[in-house]
Amino acid sequence: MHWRLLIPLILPLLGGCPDSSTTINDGSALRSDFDWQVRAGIPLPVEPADNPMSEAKFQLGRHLFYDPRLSGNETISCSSCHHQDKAFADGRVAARGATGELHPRNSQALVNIAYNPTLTWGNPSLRSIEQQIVIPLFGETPIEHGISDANQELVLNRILAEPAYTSLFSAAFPDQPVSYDTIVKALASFVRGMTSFASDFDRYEQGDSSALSESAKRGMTLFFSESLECFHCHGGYNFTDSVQDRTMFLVDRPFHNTGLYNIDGLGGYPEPNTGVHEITGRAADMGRFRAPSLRNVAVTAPYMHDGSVATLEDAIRNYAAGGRNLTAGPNAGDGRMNPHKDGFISGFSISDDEIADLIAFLESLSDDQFLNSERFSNPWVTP
Amino acid sequence: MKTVMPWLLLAISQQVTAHSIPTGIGEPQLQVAMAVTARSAGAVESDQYWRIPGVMMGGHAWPAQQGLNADELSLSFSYRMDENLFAVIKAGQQDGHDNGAVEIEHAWLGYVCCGDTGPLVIEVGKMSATFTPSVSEHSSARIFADASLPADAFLGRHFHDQGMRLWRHNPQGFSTGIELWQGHAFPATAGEDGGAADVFASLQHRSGRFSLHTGVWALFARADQRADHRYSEEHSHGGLNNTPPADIRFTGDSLLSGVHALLGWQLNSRQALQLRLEWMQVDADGWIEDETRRADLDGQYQGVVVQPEWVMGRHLFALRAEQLSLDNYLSGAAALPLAEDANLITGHNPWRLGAGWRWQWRKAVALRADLTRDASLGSAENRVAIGLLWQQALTSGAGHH
Repeated sequence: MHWRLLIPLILPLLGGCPDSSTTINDGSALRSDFDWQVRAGIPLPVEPADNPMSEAKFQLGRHLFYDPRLSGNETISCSSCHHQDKAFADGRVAARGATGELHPRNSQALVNIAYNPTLTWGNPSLRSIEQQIVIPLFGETPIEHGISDANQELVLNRILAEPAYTSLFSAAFPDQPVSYDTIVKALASFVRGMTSFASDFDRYEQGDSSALSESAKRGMTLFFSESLECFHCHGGYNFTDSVQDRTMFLVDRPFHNTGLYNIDGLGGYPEPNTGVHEITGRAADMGRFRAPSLRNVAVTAPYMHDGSVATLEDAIRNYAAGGRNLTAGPNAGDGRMNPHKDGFISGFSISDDEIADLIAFLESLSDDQFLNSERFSNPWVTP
Repeated sequence: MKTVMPWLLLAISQQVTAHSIPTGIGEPQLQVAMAVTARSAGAVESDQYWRIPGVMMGGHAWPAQQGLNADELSLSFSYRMDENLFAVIKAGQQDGHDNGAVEIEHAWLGYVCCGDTGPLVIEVGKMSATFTPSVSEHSSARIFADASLPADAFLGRHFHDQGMRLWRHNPQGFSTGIELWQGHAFPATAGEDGGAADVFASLQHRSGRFSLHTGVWALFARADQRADHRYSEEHSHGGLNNTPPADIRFTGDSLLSGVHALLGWQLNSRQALQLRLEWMQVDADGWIEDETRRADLDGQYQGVVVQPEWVMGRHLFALRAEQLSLDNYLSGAAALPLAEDANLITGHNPWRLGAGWRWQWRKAVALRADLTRDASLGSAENRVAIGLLWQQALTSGAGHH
């Protein structure tokens, strides 16, 4: 029986209603010439007007990313501190530059950073990948790639001497000379194009109820619960509250003090890693860092801005305690009592089984396709 | 002219207006109403959210629930202090929701000028709107267990707010007036950028066997970041299997207008035919947003209810057909994701068909049953509702107009 037919048959008045419809005019916001490899339901990142994405730039950037000739002494490339199998983190507490100098901070994973409204761990003014890339190439504190005024022409000539780059540069930047400007734009395009939305969790979100184990499902419930509060700083499609995409008209750039240190009883963090405080000098910004995306977090140990937390379990136990209490060593102090600590780091009760469930959920955020994709791999290596 | 049986009058009088002006000076009037309904199924599963695709709902438009529920429990008190002044207070709990809290729905003072019932009346306080009977009708007075689909979708089922009403009142003729509201009732919001106002005109006419009550109205409502009251207040994020709807808010103007009518034809002393009609349209113009995204919204909606009724003795039989037409145009970079989150993507005209029966068993007690074919969410589902209704004046004395 077609009940709907009764409407016009019994009561002709109802037949006069126009059909419902929804018209969307998004001004092409969801279209791009570049294949972002973003699943349905995820908005596209913002493309800078002066460096729109292209596959040619992406491929050129990929070659440069893995090329140690782009360093003062030809010893390191971007990939030296950003390993694909570790979601482009490096597994070390702190990275080491071309001259052997240790970086004070832990290498960040390069996952979906096209969605980051700020770059690095704690700099609210660093808002584009192009800006950020200049720092490891030319920075002196610490020295990373070690390119300087003294050797920059030499380094550029090395790049010009590589035959493969001739076609790559001409495809990416037709009619433009090879320069550090185009090198930076190509590197930024490659890094911007590293998207990861094919984890088990994503499959579960798209309707595959078997994509998550029962333990991971329990962990997911914990993660999104008000008792643990994880999702407040690590929520949304990129599992961070620091996110930007082209659908947004208001972009928040939050930073959080997680109670990791309290070396002076006044909330102090060990120098030089004081977070946003390094930029602003304000006491209230002491220890405030950007919450990184948790996508692929299971392969990016050690954790926190200084790599001082070895495992996910340790990180969860710190949050459960409402901060970290270091009872010995040069950084001793009760982070739980840090006066600048974020309000969501209030502590919670959690059992060992629940920690295992929570870790199972975090592991479900790993994207094997991203971690193994040839698209992001070293192009200089012959298979 | 044949004598009209009292129960016939009682049945026909279910033109459900909550508004009344007490007439007996110094005679307090107390009335209780209750509706208990058992339904074979709910509009949605008990852990799901009733959101009709294509329209942002709110107010008190709670879904029909499976099982036994108290749809209404209310106690109202009215008092005519002198020739001019009267007061009305009503406490009630509607639809078994809002955590079961009892709400003061009405608390207003009225001033009648020049006669017992008007023609000029000024009322100030918290009260139900008068512009259409749909927004002030209560479950215990209906034939069908469920409120009408347009009232649920466009007006949040009930419309009671703090405000004032100035009107020319003639219960046997032409009435017209204006109402000004603070904006606590859907689709408005309160505050500096909120508020609502309406104008209405109605006509009651009886000529021999024929009776007519009809009216036209227009409501202008302003909203500032209006959330869906039903599902947004509890700060709970739950698991993904029961994630609350995204908190998408509407800011802008809504202009609603409509026509309602109740036509009656008394066949004989035991039987009468009635036809209840309502049509309303909405023009929602503004934007929707969440914490970081915004998109402009232009919504054009229509809703119609056609309800033929047959009164036979103490029994009243009715059919009801309802349909909505929902047309949305969204623009802006976030138009698609916000439209999805706000549940505005649709190509479906929500509709419902119902067959109902109400039996006025005693003067104060009635039974009712209805069968509803509900396609408000897309696929059509059947449900049966059986209800016990109690409406009783606990004091004797003069009545209302």
